[in-house]
Amino acid sequence: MEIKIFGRLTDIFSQEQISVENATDVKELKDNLLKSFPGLSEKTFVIAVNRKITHENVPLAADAEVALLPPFSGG
Amino acid sequence: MNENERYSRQVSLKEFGEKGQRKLASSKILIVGVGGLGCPALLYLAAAGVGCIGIVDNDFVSLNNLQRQVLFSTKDIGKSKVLVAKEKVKELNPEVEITVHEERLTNTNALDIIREYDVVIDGTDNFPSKYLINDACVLLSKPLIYGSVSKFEGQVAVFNVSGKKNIKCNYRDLFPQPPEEKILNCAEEGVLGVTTGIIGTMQANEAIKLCTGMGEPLINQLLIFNSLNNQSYVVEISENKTAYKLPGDEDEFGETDYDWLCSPADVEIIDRGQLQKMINENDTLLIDVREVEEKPEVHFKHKRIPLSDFENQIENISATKIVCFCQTGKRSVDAARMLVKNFGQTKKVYSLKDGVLSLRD
Repeated sequence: MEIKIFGRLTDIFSQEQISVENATDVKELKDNLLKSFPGLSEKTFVIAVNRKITHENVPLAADAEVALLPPFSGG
Repeated sequence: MNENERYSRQVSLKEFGEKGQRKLASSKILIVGVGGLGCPALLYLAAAGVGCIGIVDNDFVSLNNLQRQVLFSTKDIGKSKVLVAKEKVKELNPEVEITVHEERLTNTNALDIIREYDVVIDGTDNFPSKYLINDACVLLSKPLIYGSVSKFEGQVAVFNVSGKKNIKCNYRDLFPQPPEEKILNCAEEGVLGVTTGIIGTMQANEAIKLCTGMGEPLINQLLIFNSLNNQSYVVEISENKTAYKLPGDEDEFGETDYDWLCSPADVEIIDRGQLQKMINENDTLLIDVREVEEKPEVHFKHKRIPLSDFENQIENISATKIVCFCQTGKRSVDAARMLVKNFGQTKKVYSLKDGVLSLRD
């Protein structure tokens, strides 16, 4: 599935989009991402699945579109 | 001058029309922060004929503002942002009533100020203000048009307005608590004027839609715009009430310290009274972390170590009791954090709440 990366989280991933496999739900995806990108553990962000913010662990279809969204404070 | 002529181009839009114009003319909009977001929002809302616009800011115009804060000119450097803004907007459209709030929005004045308006636009550049404005708008049930930028991206959302199924989300449904890590603002990570211009203008657009009932405002939605690739990404926000606790009433709001809430536990925030005591006791190193050209000057003994050079000079700081201060109290927290990180418990580190601007009478 495709993971879209926003804001300064791209510093950790070095790109705006990555593909991952084998994540059946949000929790598993988060665990996998933290293993591959440990810097993520120090960042605040929310997850959107198919363009809906989710604060809970929901199942992920293989073709789900996931986005990682950090807070911004500039103005 | 035929004042009907002024708005003729927008009145001829059938979705807007005379009715839209009347609704705008009877609207009262508050813009918090007359900076990169607030300037374009204010210009367009005033030009469009919003009846009453309130502006809140306690900062002065500096040279590095002019690249994005398009209301201000070189000759305005050193002047009060809200007073200059009022003057410029009056020239643009004398029909608009501008109310100036030359102060920082705090937990003691926010409710009284916001209460007077129909819609609030968040043009601030820091988390304490964003959470404070959000909580105040929830308490008073005021529509809030949120905006923020990070480098080439911007976020816009409309909070506290009932959407589908009567759901009414606020900023905390998106981000329940302030981030614990440091998030850079425009002063630190840089920003192009056009990016804040686009996002501030989008906020003005949402305000016009809300006030006139046109179109589909971003209710319970967050829009992220990337100016480098022109992609817009809109996500739906849902309620997340168990993740946060808002101040239950106005008293509780007044007791909530938003600076503390959004700052690390290892830096103590002090006010001007405590600072004065330390100045009198003469046992504390006071460090101005503003950049060298920044004004106003302070008239007590201090050292100036600009935040941009703080890391290089940190090893030369030998005092064990230190107060960092800056213009508004944000950068000084960052400097204080650097001291804590570098020296740990060997130094007692403080940051002046609301900065040099709080020292004015």
